[in-house]
Amino acid sequence: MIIQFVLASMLSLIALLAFMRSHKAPVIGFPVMGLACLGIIFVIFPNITQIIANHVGVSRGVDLVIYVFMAIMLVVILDIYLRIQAMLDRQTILVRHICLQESERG
Amino acid sequence: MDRFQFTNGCIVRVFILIPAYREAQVIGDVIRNLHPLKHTVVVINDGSPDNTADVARAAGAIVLTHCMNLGQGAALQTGLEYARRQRADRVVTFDADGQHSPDDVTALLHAMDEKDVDIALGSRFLGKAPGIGWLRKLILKLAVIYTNLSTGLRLTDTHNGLRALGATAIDCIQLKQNRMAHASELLQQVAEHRLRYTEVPCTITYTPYSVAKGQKLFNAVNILTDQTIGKLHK
Repeated sequence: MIIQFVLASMLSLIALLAFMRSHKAPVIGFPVMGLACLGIIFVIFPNITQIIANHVGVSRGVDLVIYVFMAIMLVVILDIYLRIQAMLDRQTILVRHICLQESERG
Repeated sequence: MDRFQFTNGCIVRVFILIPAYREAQVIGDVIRNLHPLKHTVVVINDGSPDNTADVARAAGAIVLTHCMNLGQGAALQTGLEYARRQRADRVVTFDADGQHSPDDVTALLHAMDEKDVDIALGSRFLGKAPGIGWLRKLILKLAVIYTNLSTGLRLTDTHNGLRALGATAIDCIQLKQNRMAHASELLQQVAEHRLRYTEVPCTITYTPYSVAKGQKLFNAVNILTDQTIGKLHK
C-alpha cells in the first residue's frame, strides 16, 4: 500500500509536469503523460499487467512491464545519442567558422 | 613563394595541411623539414593545451586554431576549407608527429601529375614501414580488406595520413567524422564521387614518440562504431 501511494504520487507528478510542458514539446510531453497515467493504473491495479501479459505470451506481468520499459529506454537512448551527435556537428561548424574568421582577420 | 612545377610547365599553389594536437615537441622540426619544398605549410592547431601554435608559427607555418579540441578529421576539414578559400591547386595532408617524409610529398605530387588523377594516396605497404609491429600490421591489413569491400576501391593502405588532393578532390571532399573515422570517410567519398586515384609508395617512420602519440590499436573498434553511427546519422 505504501509503495503504491509513493509510486502513484511520483507518476502523478511526472504526468503533471509532462502536461505542463506538452504545449512546448508535444512530441515528448503527451507520450510521457500517457505512459505516466498508464503507470498509475498499473500501480493501483497490478492485476491488469498480468492479464495483458497472459494475452501476449509473457509469463508474469512484471516481466512485461520490464520488457516494454527496456524497449522504450533503448529508443530514448538512441534518440538522445542522435541529438547529441547533431549538436556536436553544429558545434564543429561553429568552431570552424570562428577559426577561419580569425585567420582572415590575421 | 609557394609553387610546384607541373611537367607541362604550370605553376600551382600547394598547401601542406598538418592537423596537430599537443605536438609542441616535434612540430617545429616537421615544419622546418618541409621548408625546402617551398610549399605553403598550414598547421591546424586542434585546441592544443600546450604551445603547439606558437612553435608552429615560429617555424614559419600559417596556423589555424580551433578554440576547442574536435579531432583530426575536423582539423583536416578546416584545413581543406581554408585551402579552398585560398584557391589552392593542390593539398597534401601530412602528419604532425614526424612519421612522414617530405620526399614523399614530392613523389605524391609528381604521381598526380603523371597519372592525371584527382587524389594520390601514400601506401606504407608499397613503400616502407620499418619497425611496424605485427599487431598494428594485422589490424591495418584487416582495415584494408574492410575498406576495399565497402568502397569498391583497390588499395593497399587505407589509414595513411599522407595524401595529395587536386582541385576536384578539394571541392568534393567534405569530412563529417571529427575523429579517426575520417580516414575511412574520405575513401568512401573518393568512391562515391568516382575520383581518379593512385597509390604511391611512401615511408612511415615509427619512433617511440609517434607510436606513443599515435592511434591506439583498440581505436579500430571506435572507428568502426563511428562509421556505423555516421551512416545511421545520415
